[in-house]
Amino acid sequence: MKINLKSSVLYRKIWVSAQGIGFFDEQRKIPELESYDLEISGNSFSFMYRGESVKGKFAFEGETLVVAINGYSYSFEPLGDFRSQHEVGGGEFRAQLPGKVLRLNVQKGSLVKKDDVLLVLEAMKMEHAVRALGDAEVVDVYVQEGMQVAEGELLVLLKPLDQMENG
Amino acid sequence: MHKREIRTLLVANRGEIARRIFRTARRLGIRTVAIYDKEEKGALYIKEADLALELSGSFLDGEEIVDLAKQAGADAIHPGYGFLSEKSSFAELVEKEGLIFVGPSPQSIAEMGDKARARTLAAKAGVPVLPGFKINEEEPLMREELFARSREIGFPLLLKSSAGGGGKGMRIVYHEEHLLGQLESLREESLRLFRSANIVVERFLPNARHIEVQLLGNSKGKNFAIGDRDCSLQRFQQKIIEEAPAPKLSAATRQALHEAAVSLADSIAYQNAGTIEFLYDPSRESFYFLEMNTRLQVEHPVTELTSGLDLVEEQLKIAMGYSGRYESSCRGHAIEARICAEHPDGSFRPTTGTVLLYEEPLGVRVDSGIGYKSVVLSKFDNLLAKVVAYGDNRMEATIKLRDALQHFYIAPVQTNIPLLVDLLSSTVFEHAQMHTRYISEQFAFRENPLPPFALAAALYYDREKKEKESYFGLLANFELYRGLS
Repeated sequence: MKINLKSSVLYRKIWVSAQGIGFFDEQRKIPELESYDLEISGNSFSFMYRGESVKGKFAFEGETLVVAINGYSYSFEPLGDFRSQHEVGGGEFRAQLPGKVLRLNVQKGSLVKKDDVLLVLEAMKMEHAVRALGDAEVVDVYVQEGMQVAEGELLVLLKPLDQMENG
Repeated sequence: MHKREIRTLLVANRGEIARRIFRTARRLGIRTVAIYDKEEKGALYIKEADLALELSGSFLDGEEIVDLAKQAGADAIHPGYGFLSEKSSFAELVEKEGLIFVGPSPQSIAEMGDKARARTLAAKAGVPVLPGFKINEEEPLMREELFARSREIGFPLLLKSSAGGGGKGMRIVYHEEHLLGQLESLREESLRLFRSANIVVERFLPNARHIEVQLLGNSKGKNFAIGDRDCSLQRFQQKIIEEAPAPKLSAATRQALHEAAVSLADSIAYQNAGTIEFLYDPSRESFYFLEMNTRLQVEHPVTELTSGLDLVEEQLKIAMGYSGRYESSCRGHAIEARICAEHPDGSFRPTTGTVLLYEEPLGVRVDSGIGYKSVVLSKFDNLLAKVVAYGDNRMEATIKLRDALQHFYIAPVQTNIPLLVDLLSSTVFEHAQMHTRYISEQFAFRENPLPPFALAAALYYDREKKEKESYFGLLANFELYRGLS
């Protein structure tokens, strides 16, 4: 789905997968399902949901995000922060949900291009493709097809190609 | 009764009720003493007391509590509700040790605490009781007699443990063939929970409302009705929405209820705050004695908002010897919703954890036991806070309360707020057609419709963007607490 984010510092459209597994700005669109205008101000936010204005509050406690909306309460934990590595297309790829490795497209030593599907995870009865974020070499593969993986389990390690050339 | 001064008050309770009692005590210039379980160290009520002492036992350990009171230099103990509030032996111990028990006499507690005895007293005072009989542990009824008397009353029947309370120790028997089995299972439960297998058998009213009368008995045992309340919305016989006055009641019925309550309380020269509960059958406009609670009720704030009285203040005054009158003139309408740490999906599974987001609504009374960083433990009752709205009329109070609940932000400990909002929005509540089994048997629980994962993603993204401009979003994994036990 698409969320039009408005806050004091930014106005931006982002695309979020239904389970919120990954989210991306304009450069990496995923199919748009529903669109929300999310307004953030201080620790409050509001958006229109099925014709009704929904207001909520949130707080960060370290990396933990807690949200209260209409009496419902949620807690979220990020799995990890891979920004620096992902910015150059490499890094560790971990399972964002417990699930099964449905297909494995790479092996140790494979060279992959940006957006190549490394593997497909089946989680919550849906398929989730794990894609390379840049041109890279597969340093190691820690799973096999059919394997059950736990949340946060290491799947694949990539080394960005440009980094190799530079090194 | 000679006048006695209260200068230091120990509250033998915790959470929201301890805070609420301290508030009044502070206003009256009374020094406050909290006692606490070591696992709750840091709770708000502990910080707010002038002195806080750790319990080595529990809130049920009367002897230790009296020792701590003496150690703290307290001259009175307020029991709150639950725990030892309706244990006559505790009240007796407190008085024996020369301290003031803020509540009725041990004898009143004992008489009303025994359901069979209370029933007899009610009948003697001319208060209608449901047709029924009791079965004593020592002299069980012959099978033939049990069935004959049960048929005489007519099914469905309600079986109640004579020593029960708080919604425990009850069985509803719809068919004759289940009578023996249910009776046996209740006997076992009663022995286990209350160490008594005495049982009261009564007619069960399927669509009855729960209506109660608030009483204040002065130190001479003269009682006054301070309005009434409807507490029909219950889950597991525990109230979650209460209001004052009881809606849809004719003036004649209301007056009869108040008179019945006063005459029963006067008949035992009841002193201090108490509540007489009735079952009200709307189809017949008739009411029946249910029980008397010889303590301050959880839902007392709705009476305070409509009567203008501070019931804790009156309790303290009576305990100090007040023997004057109360002129009751209630105005407007007040509704209370109990916020409990539990899932709102109908499972009522309790929730626990540390509160990381806590914001109370404005424009309503909030009696809360928790705040930011409070820890919700499973070992205590899961009532976290009460929200009480006042309006000129019932509709105004309903709208105010619903709005306030929607603006009460508590996370990540899930509460029953969505259920409370839905109940207040229901046409059954709007038309005051609720009855005591409405939630368990007729209410349609709703699924949470919101897409929270995406929302969380957006909030993380927003923070990340504020902190640092980065090309890709943070790859995040989200755990949804709903659905986890």
